[in-house]
Amino acid sequence: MSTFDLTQRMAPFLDMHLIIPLLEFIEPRGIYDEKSLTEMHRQLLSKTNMIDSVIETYNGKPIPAAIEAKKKQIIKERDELKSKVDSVVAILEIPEVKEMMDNNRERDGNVRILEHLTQNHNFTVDMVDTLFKYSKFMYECGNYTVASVCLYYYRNLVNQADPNYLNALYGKLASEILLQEWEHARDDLLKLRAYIDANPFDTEWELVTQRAWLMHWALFVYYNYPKGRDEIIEMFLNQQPYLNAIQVLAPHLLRYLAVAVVTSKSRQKNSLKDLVKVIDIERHSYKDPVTDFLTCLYIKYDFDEAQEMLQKCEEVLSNDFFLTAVLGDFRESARLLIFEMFCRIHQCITIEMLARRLNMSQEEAERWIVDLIRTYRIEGAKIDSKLGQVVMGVKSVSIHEQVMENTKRLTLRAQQIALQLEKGRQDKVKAN
Amino acid sequence: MSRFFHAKGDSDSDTESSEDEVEEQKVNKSAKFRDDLDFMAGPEDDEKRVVRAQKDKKFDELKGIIKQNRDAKCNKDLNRLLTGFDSLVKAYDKSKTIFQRQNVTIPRFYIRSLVEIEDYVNKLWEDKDAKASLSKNNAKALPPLRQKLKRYIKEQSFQDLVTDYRANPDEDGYETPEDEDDDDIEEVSEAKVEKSPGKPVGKAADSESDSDSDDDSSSWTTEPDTDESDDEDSVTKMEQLRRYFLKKEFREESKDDKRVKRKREIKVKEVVEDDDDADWTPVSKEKSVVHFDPKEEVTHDVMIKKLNEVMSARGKRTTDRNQHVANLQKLLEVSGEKDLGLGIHVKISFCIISALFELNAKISDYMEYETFMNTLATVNNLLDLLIGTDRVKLSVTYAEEDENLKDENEDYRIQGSILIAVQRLDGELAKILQNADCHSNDYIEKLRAEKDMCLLIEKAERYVELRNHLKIFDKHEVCKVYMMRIEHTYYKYQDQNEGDAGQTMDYLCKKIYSLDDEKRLRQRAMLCHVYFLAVHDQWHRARDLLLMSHMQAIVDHSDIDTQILYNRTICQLGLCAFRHGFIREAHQGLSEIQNTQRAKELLAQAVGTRQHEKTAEQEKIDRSRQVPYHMHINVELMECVYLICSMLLEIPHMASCEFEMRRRMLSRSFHYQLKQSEKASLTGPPENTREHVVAASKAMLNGDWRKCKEYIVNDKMNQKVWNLFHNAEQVKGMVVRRIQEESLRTYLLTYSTVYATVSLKKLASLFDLSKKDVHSIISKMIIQEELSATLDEPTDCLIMHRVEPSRLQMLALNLSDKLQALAENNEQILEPRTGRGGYQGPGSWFPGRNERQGDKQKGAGGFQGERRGGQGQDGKRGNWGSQGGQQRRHPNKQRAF
Repeated sequence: MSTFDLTQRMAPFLDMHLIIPLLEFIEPRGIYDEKSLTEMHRQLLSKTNMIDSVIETYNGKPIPAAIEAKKKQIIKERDELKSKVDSVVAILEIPEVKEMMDNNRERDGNVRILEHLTQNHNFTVDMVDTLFKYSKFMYECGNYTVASVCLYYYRNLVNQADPNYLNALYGKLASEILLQEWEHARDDLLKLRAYIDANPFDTEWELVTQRAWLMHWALFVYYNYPKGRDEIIEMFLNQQPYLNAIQVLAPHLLRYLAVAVVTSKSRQKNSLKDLVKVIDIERHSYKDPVTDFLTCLYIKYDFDEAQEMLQKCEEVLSNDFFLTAVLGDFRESARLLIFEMFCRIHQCITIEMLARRLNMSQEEAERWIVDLIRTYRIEGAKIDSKLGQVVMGVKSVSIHEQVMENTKRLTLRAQQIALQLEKGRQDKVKAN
Repeated sequence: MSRFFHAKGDSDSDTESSEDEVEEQKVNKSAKFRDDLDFMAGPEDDEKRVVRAQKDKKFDELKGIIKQNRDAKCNKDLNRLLTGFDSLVKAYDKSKTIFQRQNVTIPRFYIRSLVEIEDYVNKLWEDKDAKASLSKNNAKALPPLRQKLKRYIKEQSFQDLVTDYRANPDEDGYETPEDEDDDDIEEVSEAKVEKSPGKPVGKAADSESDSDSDDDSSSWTTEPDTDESDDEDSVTKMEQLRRYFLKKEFREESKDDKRVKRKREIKVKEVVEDDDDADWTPVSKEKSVVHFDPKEEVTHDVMIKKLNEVMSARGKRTTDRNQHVANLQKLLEVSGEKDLGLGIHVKISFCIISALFELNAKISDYMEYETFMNTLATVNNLLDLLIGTDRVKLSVTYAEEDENLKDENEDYRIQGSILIAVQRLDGELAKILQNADCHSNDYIEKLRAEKDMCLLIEKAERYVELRNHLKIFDKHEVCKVYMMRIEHTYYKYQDQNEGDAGQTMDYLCKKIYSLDDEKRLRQRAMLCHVYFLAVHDQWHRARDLLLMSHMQAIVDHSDIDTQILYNRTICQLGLCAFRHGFIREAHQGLSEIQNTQRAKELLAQAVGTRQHEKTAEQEKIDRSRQVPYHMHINVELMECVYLICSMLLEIPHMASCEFEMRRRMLSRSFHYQLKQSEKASLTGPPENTREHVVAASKAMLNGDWRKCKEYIVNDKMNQKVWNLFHNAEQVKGMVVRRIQEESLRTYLLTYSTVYATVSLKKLASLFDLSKKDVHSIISKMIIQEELSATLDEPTDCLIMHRVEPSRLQMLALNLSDKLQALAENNEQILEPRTGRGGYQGPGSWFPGRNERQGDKQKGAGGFQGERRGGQGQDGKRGNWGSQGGQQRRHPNKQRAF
């Protein structure tokens, strides 16, 4: 079962704190060996400052002395940093300053606030650094609320050229994700994306890597956000640079993209073709039941295999941290896709066969089809319940209809061109 | 037949060097063989006739000029003779290439005319009275004519031929037509003679000087080459007389000759001085340069001084290059005897290597194979030495003044680069292979050197890696070493279990990607890498790498060698795609080259046929670009694969477009082949691969897959095509399977109007496919709206809806199509689609290439999708080819503009 689990492939693109929820998710699934997983979990935690969580993993067994010592040291460090930062925060929480920050516009490059603070409140540049250090430390300790607030301040004080600016953006995003503040997280995500798209990096390679990171982090946000799936399509598929990053670095993201496309109601039609093309290209480097399902349906036209894949998909999706929630949606949409395909190819289908293909009982299938016909108004499809068949109306297009269809829009198009030309001419006259 | 006997006579008289003899005997054999053949063949066969025509033309031209020269001679019009001689030489130069191509060597009548002119001029020169009686104009023309003639004969190394001719001249009134008949026999013998002028002369020179060295009064030891021809001039009369009568005793005579020469030595000098030409100053004491004064102790300084002395002769016209090398070798020996240290040793070795390279005067000439091996060994030894010790630093960065050759306490510093020597050696090997006859054993013999070369390059690489930290290498040099290794590896197929050539290749290419700043080597390395991957069946990696390299976009602007490499890579990639069953991609890759009709030329496997458009110089450049035979891509195989791909794509396409007025062709050359075979009034059974594919296509068009398969897979095709793939069975299986599928498609499209319903079961049995496959193929066709039909699931039938359109309906459909195209074009002009770069002039009008430039990384799909971008795609690709070709053809012209 672990063959299709992506945790290992995703981990390099995620922050340690973000991996923790993934680990916690797969632990009870029994996909991996339990012992190694706990060990892994502990190691991960010990790299952070969340000592208490580490201690928890021992479950009452004796705790190594080194960890106790580390705990003391961390607490000491925290106190030190806190004493330094308190004064800074005090300044920043003056209502007047706060208001300024809230009204701040990106374009000013945050210079004005910093100037104002240094002139009126004895603010020094060192303080900014302390603020950053403190927020980083708090983040490591698992205190995401404080981290996010501090990073918010930090971001408003520092201009974009600052070496830590990108880190701050990532930190803020991670904090919001871990706090499950999806609205905020989404805003942060957009900010981060805008920053990355401006390409402040030295090499092309780094840019691609950053994009890959960003996409992985975005999964947290978009799969937890009502309209997120459409946004995944928009970002992953329709933005060429991001699609490139997927192809180059992280083809496993195709699974999430595929699920997003299949389950999206509004975008499905337009995106499916593009998606299938990409999947076809990348077939040699990545495939899993989800992409295979689409391959079978749209490239091989093999419905039996598609059916098999759909069954495997259920298992995969239910074991995927991001996708468990959309399993129902996916199943439903996938069935619809299969049925649609059938309708386009066949003139007459037995319900029994359909039921088998769709993984349902015959009665269930019949009801389901009735629903489909009603909700989606599939043209000409009728159920012949005596023979147990679905019959499609033949809609062969006669040639004169074809000619009419072809020429119908021509007049309109010609007129549009004429209008455009006229407009262009007038503009020119005006310009002269 | 008389010629044959003459030839024998020649060999008798020329026994001075044993090697010559061997050569001559070969000649005899082949001449005999030829003769026999001629007897049997009687009238020449058809192929030959074409060849003749061109040769004849050239011959006629030459003869015309010769005749004029004769006239001029009779009229004592030296001016005309001078210009006549010039034009003769020019005409000959022009036609030389044609002769070479057709294996015709210097025609005898040409030599005769040269000798005639020479004799005449010499006669005049000696005859003071006659000279005095010349008009002023003519008197002026005489010395330059004499000079030119002498130099020309010398330069073209015609001496042998001239002496040959002198030895057995044609009787007066010997007329040209007969010449031609004799040419066949002569060609061979002369070809051999011509090939080996350098060597025997050198040998002769050596032996001569050896015998001379007894004679301490070295005052007369002139440089052999000049010597001979000088003598010849002064002694012509006597010599001629002798040679007329004493063919066989020539050898004995030669000793006498020498004595005569000695006597006349002073005279010669006078003559030379009369000539007033610097070229002819005799070089004396060349030999003695190497001798050290026995009283003096040989120290570093003395040695260096000596070396400089020897080296100062380098490059001068008067220096005999062979002698130069020998001198240096002598020095090396002495330095070894006296134990002067590594510095000197390396320095001298290095000088020897450069001297060996300079044995050839012209850069376009190729090295003698022996010399090459000699040089290779020398370089190899030097490299071993350098690897063995880290006390010698050889680098181009040192100036000559910084050199440290003697101080043993410091590291030796020497200017020079062993890497460049290796590189040059590599170039020479390529030239040798280019010039060898690829179908002979000789080629295989010479190809052995390639292995040594590879070892040497590997050694050089090791050396570089050992010493790289010393910073003695130029970055570019280092790149070149890696590049050389790549270039010796990339085209060789290595079985998986024979080692990890792939890793080596990866390693080498990555080195270059990281080291090279200027793009050229990087591009080349990348192309080689792609080529390598393609050869090793790693289709996906190869394709991705090619697409990421953006080569398609930039290749038009890169140099011609890179373009050639690109063409070759694309072809190889096409073949790789075919082996993997990616028919469309394979077709695309191969059509870039195949559609141009000049596949061989574009792959640099043959020089173009449009010879006459080129100047000799361009042609020379072209020749120097040719890929050695062992690297050739099998063009016949490629063509066959291309045609099979075309068949698989085009036949169903043709069937589906039956009713459209103007069909869009996927492959022009395939249609051409089809049309050709239709034109033929009588179609016999297919002979060559091309005919096989055409016959198969016809079978497929009728929906008969079995016949189609038989045409494609049979013994003949096995031999010519399939066995050339290393995974032949797999590929054959793939092709058969594709044939079945495409035949089914064609069948359905062609007969859709005939059927109302077809049972899937019947289709499956008809085409020997499983029902599932049939189902999936039909589904695909329905979805893509190729076939207007639907499936009936309960009965497993395909129900056809297609109605054959009436003529009026068809016209209406076509009209509407055209209107639509018109509307689209108008919109395009007014408002170019986004992503297509807009209308930026005619260059970017075809979207194909532009798109590729823009969103390459989209990647990977591009190989298929992107290039298909434009309607005019096919034409565009064709354009590309000819464009490349044009650049190739007129590089100079373009520069001139």
